[in-house]
Amino acid sequence: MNLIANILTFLIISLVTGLGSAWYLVNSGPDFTAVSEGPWETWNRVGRTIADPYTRAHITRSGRLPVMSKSLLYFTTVHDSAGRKIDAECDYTIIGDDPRGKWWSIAAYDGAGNLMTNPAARHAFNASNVLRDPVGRYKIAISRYPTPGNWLPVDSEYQVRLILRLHMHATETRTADTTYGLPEIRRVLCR
Amino acid sequence: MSLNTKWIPRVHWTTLIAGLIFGVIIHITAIFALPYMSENNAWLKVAQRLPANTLQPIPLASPEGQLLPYMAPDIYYAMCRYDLTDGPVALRIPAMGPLWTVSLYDKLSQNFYIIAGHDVKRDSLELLLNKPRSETEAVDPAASSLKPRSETITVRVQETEGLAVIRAPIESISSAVQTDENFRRMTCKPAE
Repeated sequence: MNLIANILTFLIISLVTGLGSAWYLVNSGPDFTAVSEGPWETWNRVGRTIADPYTRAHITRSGRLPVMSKSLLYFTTVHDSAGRKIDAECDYTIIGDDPRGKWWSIAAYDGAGNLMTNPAARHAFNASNVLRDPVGRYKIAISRYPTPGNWLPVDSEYQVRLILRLHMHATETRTADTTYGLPEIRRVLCR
Repeated sequence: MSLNTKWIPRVHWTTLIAGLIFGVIIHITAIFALPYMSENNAWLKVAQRLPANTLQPIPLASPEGQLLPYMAPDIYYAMCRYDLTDGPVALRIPAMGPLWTVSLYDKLSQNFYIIAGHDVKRDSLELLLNKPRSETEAVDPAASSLKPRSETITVRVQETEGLAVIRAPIESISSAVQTDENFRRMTCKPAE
């Protein structure tokens, strides 16, 4: 009885700590490689040959082909600026100024990385097509329902993941403390 | 009245320590093995669909069709699965403003070389992909955005097969028409 209990305990501890921690860190990233600004997160060694094993595993598992992080940064989020999970039953506003870099784009995906069908056939806004106020700030509405201005439709059947692509100047020096002036995501109302 | 605990099996403390140590071994093995075992690997998804040494413009990502997860809906993509088995491959690309990029990937989705539009001062770019003559001539990842000094840039790659991806953001409707035209003029084929 004691032998069986010891073997079971050994297996449970090793599998839970080994596979559980691997799954968690491949998804969310250890502190030394995943950095955040507000609700936005990025893996700072994405796509690079010097990437750590967690970043390599994360990228291979996601099925993406990212550009190395010195040229293009990918910020993702499934949360608003208050830390609440983005819920497609609610309306949100992305509000901000142009972040650092040469060009930016914000797109909405479902949890598997697919674009969502919507009547406006609108999936992204970028530095070139977003409507701005007279001082240059922009507001992008994320909602299931048509909204005046920059409306980025989402589908309530799916988890919503936002990706902000930031095309950088390759010569720009960046450190772990560098901030990019990324926009806020405010929850407006839930229906 | 005392509680009878004889029926509860005794777990030795060494079992807990051994479980934790073995857990660390499983963790390290899983992290290093995942890139080689993942069926979601972009190379596996793309390689079967693309003919070798042929540039393939990819339709704009949409809910109806998306070659890979998280593709940008406002960026034009073209891909070439290069195969250097029979010799070098030449990639010819007309310049398209400062934001376009050419990225080379190995089979683990690692972007080992990139050149961006703002580095190209000519009307077009030719990348000659070739095998390394020796280990020391393999491409240096640190020098991945070299400014071209000649019309043709030779990139010596470690693996015989890989992916070249051209990206061009859609900056305006008028630029989209021009970018579309430029994508038709790109080529990826065995070097003559």
